[in-house]
Amino acid sequence: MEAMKTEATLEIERDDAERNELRVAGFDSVAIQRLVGEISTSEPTEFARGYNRTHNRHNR
Amino acid sequence: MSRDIDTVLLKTASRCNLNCSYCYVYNMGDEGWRSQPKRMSQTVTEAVLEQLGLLSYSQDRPLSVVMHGGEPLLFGIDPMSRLVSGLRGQLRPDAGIHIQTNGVLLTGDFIDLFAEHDVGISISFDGPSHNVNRLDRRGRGSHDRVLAAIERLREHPAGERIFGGLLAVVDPFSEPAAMYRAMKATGAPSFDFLYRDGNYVTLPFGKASAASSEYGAWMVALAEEYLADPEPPRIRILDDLMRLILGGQSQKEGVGVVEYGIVVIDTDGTVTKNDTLKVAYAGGDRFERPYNITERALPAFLAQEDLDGYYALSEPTAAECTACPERNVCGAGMPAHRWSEESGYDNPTVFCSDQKMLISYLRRRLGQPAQVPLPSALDAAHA
Repeated sequence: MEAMKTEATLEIERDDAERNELRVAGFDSVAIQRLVGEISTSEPTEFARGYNRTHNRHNR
Repeated sequence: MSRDIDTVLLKTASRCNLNCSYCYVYNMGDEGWRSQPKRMSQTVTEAVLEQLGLLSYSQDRPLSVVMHGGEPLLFGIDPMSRLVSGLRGQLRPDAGIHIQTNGVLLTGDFIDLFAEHDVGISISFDGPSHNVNRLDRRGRGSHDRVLAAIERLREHPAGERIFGGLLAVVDPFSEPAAMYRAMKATGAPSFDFLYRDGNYVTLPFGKASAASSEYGAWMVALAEEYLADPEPPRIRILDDLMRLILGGQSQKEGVGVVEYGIVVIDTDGTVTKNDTLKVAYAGGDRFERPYNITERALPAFLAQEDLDGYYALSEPTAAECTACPERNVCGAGMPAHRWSEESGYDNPTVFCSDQKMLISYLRRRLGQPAQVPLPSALDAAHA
């Protein structure tokens, strides 16, 4: 069965596998990329600081 | 043990123009608000300005002052103007000043004032669930009035600088994707989510038992939306959890094992603990030795040894937490949510199974090995 697969099918499968790998590692997510970027540069943005401090709580 | 204070909550008004069904101030059994003056007096305000000025210069950590209530805008425009201009004059320049409002009274005058003094504004907004729980005193929903306030703030020339974002309370029976879309449609730069308050005595709304994970499943579905969005705003709680999983630090109470020194100043000047402790039992937020800000010795009061127990509350102490591989990410949640009559705060959070589900899901998305197993249904859905 494997031998009968066309080159196109195999390529699609390779792409799918690559996408899954990226998804599992979070690199397909803009939110994760943004966070990883901030952590790796150790530069939490002013914005990040602001939103955390503003969102301390409200009346639940 | 650090004694630095991260956040001072100023109760500028003790009453609210809304009557939200889930409010811990008015609808969770503590009646302390009844004995409080409706608004902070000029005498208390002056003591607050002086003492917070001293505090901000007496510690290393930058201080954050959050105006809160009740509804803090009920304070009125003139007293609010005196307060925020005074705070800017007294506090160290790196101090943050913020307000958490329901938005109904957020007029252009208030926005101008907050823009002038660089006061960050966060608005409470529950999206599609808003009119279920956030009603005014006549029983009318506040959704449209809040949306109008958000629009006013966004259109203000300083809107981008001072609009912190939206804060919502999770309704586990609602549709997370609809909530995400509704919040994103407002154009707000960030969102945060709180769980409904509860503990082992009174389970949070929507939880069938302490072992169930309705909130965890809701948050996982929300995270799916967030992580798939090509243009995501910020979601503070999810960012904090992922930051902790990746070895960073959280930036707010409730997750991670970090001391966030929080004190509250009521309208009569009484200084209390984190006021969410009211949900454990009536008066649970009170210090054993009462102190009023007008006594004018706040840094000395905060340095007393008998405050050790309060400061230590942020540390997970239950045996289950000590042994849990997710201890440093979860942090045992908010102390208020750990309460039981048998063992006080010495329990995991009542949201323990929810937190395990959410953290395990985020670990998987970050390519990290699971520390606790995902429930099988969730495992199949998100494999």
